[in-house]
Amino acid sequence: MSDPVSIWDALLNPFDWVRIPFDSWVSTGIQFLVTHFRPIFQSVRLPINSLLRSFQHLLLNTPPTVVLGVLTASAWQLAGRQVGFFGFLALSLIGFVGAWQPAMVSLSLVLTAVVVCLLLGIPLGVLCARSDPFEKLLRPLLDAMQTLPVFVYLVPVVMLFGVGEAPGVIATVIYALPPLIRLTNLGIRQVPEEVVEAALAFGATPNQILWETQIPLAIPTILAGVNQTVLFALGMSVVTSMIAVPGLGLVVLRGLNGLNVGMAATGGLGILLLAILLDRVTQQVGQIDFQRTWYRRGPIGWGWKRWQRWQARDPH
Amino acid sequence: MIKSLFSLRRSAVMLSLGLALVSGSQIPSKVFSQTTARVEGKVIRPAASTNFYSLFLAEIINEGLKELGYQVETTQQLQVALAHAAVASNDVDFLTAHWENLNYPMIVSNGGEERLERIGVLVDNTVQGYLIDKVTAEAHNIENLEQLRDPKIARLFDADGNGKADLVGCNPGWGCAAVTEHHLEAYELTDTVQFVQGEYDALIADTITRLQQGEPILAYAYSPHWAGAFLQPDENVVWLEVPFTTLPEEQADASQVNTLVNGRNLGFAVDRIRVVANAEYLRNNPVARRWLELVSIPIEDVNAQQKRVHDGEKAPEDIRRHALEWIEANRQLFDSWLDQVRQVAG
Repeated sequence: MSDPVSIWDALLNPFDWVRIPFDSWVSTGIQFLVTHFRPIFQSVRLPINSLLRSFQHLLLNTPPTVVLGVLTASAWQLAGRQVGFFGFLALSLIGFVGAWQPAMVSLSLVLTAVVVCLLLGIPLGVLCARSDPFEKLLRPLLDAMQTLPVFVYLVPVVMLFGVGEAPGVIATVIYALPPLIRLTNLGIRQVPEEVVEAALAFGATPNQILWETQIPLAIPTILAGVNQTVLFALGMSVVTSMIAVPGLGLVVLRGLNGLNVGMAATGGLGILLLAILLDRVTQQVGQIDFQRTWYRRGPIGWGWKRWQRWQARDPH
Repeated sequence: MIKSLFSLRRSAVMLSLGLALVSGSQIPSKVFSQTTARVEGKVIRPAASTNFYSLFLAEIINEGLKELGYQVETTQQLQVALAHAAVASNDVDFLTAHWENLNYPMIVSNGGEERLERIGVLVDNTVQGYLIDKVTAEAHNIENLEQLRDPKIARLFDADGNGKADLVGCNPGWGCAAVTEHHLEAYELTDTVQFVQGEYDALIADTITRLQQGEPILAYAYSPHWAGAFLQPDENVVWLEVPFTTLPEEQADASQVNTLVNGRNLGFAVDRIRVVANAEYLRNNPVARRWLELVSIPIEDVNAQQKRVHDGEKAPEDIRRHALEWIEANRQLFDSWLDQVRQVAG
C-alpha cells in the first residue's frame, strides 16, 4: 500500500479493497440456528398442522355437493344473494374442470393462513395504533416483509421449518400479514378525535373506548385489510408449491414444468375464481346492512321468515 | 419461473450486453490461429437447464466452439421443458440437458425427432433411484421399496405426522416425477406413501438437513447432482431395490431398458445425458454437429464439480472457471476432439 499507485487505486476502487462478508454472516447465522434450534422451530408446525388438518377434513372428506352447498350458503349469508349465486357458479365450474380437490386443499391452506394472520395481525395493529414508538419499530419490518422477494426468505424457511404444508403456511403468513397490520392501525387512528373525546367525557375506560368506539368504527378499514390478506395468501400458492405445498399452485407448477399449457391454465382458472369469490365475500362483509340483523339475512333469514309465518299461522 | 418466459424476449438486450463481456474475456490464444474458415463468425446460441451441471457442460462445449471460430452467445438458462420448446422454435440452437429416456416425451410434444435431434453423449451411466438413511435401513432390515406397503415401516418415514411415509421427489412435470407416480401406483404404495413434490433442490436440501439431524429420510435421488456430495450410498444412505421393472409407457419400453446398477434393480432406466439440438441448425452446421457429437465428460468429474457448486461456487463465472479448469486438466483429449472436428471442416 506504500507506493502511490496502489493508494490511488484504493481511493478510486474502494470496493476492491474492502469487502463486508455479509453473505457468509447470513449463512453462518442460519446454519447456527439450524444446528441448535431447528427442533424449536419445528414445534411451531404442530398447531398450524392441526388447524390445517381440521379445515382439510371438513372440505375434503365430505362429498363435494355438501361442501358446495355449505360454501354457497356461507357466501350468501355473509355477502348477500348475488355473491352467493356467483359462488355457486364459480365453485361448480372449478369442480367441472377437474380442479375440485386441489382447490379445496388451496382453500384450506388460505383459511389456515388467514386465521393465523388474524390472530397475529389484529393485536399488532391495535398495539401500533396505541403506541407511536411501537409503530416506528414495526414499520421497517413490515416494509421488509412486503418488499423482500419471496424466494429470499423461502430458503431460510425451508432450512428452519422444513418442507410441506406448515412451512408453506408460515411463508404465506410472512407475506400476507403486513396489509392487515397496516390497515388495522390506520382504521383505529382514523377514528375522529371528537368521538374518542366524547367517549372519554362520558367516563369510558381506555378499554371501553377501544372495544366500543374505536374498533366498531374501524371495522370497514380492518375488513379491507382482511380482504388484502386473503388475496395475498392465495397469490402465494404458486410460490409455496415449490416447497411441496399441494393444491392449485402445484397444478400450475406441474403444467409449467411439463409445458402443459392446459394444465397450468386449469390451475390458474381455479386460483382466479377462488380469488374473485373470496374478494367479493370479504368486501361485502364490511358493508353491514343496518336495516336487518344477521338472523334476518341470507339463508338463515329465509328460514327465520318461514318459521315466523308457521308460528303465526291460523290455528285451524 | 414465469421470468424464464420473458427471458427469451429479454435475451436480445442481454445478449448485446453479454457479447461485449464475452468477447472481452475470450482467451486470445489459438482462437485466431486455428479457426476453421467455414465457421468463422457464425453464431451459435447455447441453452442449459436451470441445473448447474447443465451449465457446466454448456461452458465446456462453448469453449470448444469458440476455438473452432463460432461466435458463441451467452448461455440461456431455462426450465427444462421450456428449453426443449425453445430449441424447437429456433430461439436457441442446442441444449445440454436432455435425459434420453426421461425426457423423450418432451421431444414428442415439440414436433418429434425431425425438429429436435439428439446427438452425442455428454454424460453416460447416470444413476437414479430411491434411497433411505442407512441407520433406519439396518435397524429395520429395509432393502426393497415394496416393504413400505407395511404401515409400520412406512410410518418410520413420516415427516409431517399424517401417518404416511413422505417420499421426497423431483419437480412436478419432470420425467422423474412421472416415473415416481407410476411406481407408487404399480407397487401399490399409494395408501402408505405420500409423494412430496416441489422444487427439488429446496426439498433435497431439507432432506439432507434431516439426515444430518439423525432423522429417517426417504427420497428420490439422481446423479449428476450436488446432493451426491452429502448422500453417499453405503456410507450414510442405501439405495432401495424395486420389486419389478415398470416405467410409464410414454417414456420407455420397460423390456428394452436397463434398470440394473451393480446388479441391483433401482427401477429407473440407466440414462444418458445427451445434447438436443435444432435439426435444421445441425444440417446447416456440420462443424458444430461433429463437435456436439464428440464432447463427453465422465460422471465422476461432473459430480466433483457439483460438490464445488454446493460448497458455494455458484456464480456463472465460477462455473465457467470450473469448465476452463476441466479443459486444462484434459487438454489432450480436448485437442484430439478439436482435431477430429477440423477434419470435417477440411
